[in-house]
Amino acid sequence: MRRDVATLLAASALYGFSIGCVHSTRFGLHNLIKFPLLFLITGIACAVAYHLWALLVGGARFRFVDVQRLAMRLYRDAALLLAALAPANWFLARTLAPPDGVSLHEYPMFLGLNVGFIAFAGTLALVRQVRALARFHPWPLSRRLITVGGWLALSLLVGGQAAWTLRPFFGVRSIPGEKTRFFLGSAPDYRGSTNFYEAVRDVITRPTLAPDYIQRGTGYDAAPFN
Amino acid sequence: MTANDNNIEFAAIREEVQPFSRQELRGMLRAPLRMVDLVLGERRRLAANVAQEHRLPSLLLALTVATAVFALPFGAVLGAGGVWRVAALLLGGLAICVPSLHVFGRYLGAGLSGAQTLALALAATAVTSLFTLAFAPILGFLRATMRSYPSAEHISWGEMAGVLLVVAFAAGIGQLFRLLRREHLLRGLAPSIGLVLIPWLALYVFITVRLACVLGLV
Repeated sequence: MRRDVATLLAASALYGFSIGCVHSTRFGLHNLIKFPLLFLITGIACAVAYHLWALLVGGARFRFVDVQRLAMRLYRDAALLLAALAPANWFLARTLAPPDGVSLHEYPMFLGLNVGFIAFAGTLALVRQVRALARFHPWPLSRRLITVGGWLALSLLVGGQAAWTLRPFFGVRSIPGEKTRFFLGSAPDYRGSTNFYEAVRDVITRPTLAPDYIQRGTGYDAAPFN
Repeated sequence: MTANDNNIEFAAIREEVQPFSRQELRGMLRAPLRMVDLVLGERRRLAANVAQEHRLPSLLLALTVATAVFALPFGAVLGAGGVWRVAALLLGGLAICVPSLHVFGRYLGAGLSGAQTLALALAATAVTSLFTLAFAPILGFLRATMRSYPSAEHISWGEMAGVLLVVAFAAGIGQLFRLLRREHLLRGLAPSIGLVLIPWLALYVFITVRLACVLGLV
């Protein structure tokens, strides 16, 4: 278990560094702490819920430690796969056409690519843990999928808000690194969203942008929201 | 399959599944975390206790304590002054709605006694309560990281608490269905309970929402 945690922390730090470099080395170094913290906060906050979910779906006696080990390995595998992509990611981060006053250039492509990387690594890790679950209990595939899918949903619920609090991970280069807070916390983004759930809602409903939206994102905005 | 075959099958199940003993149930009162086995991990043994009416008073006491105790951390995160409110919501909603489940169930031919019906309903609320315990650290994290706005434009941690409570209730209701529909011992006792369960759930949800308003949770 300790080895799994150590691997998770190292691998996630490496990947975090590579994505932060799209803004600056400063953001990359920040991510050495923030990305492992994201996994840790999510894992700790969800630990009891993971266990109860496994018991509810399976009805079998799982030890708390076994469930934590399985869930931790889900994170570890995803982080390891992402770490393997870190060199390519770092290279892209340093060579893409950076955003300027006219356009975001290749920055959205970098974001989209990383969403794809995370989805791909997450899916592979999920498939592996669904198989691993069969070693603990000879459940049908559907039940194993529901168990691991439930863990993922919980992780998304908590991890989304944790990521929101710990942002920025990427950061458009037009935001000055030295003037940006280490954690933006509940500071509003350019749409005025103050937490992950509002951000998801705002992506779907697309509210009207405030006139000063381009100046937001450093965490020192005068008006918290409109 | 003849009635004789059915009897043989039920006898075989009875032999396999050992209900919880009085010592085990009392042990759970001393170490409440062991109640996780009672309400989630050993569903078949719990069903055996209810179906055979084995140590029902001890079981009812253990489930009531589990429901009350496990709901306290979630209530504490909601506000130090209202630690008891979630526990009151769970036990209050149950107290109001269980008589209707029992009477309508009996009317439609379910062979469950009042104590058995109460034990089943308490098993469901204990699962709900257990999930509120699991969600307490999550809610604590959300409370620490989300702003609380009086505006309808923003999503507050209080609204997320409502979502988590709904999920916990869904888990409890799911457990009730699984006990009544999947456990052979109980299915044999209450074959027609499904007719009552859906309308009863509608009533239970309605009453619980109203009670949540009364308790200031909504």
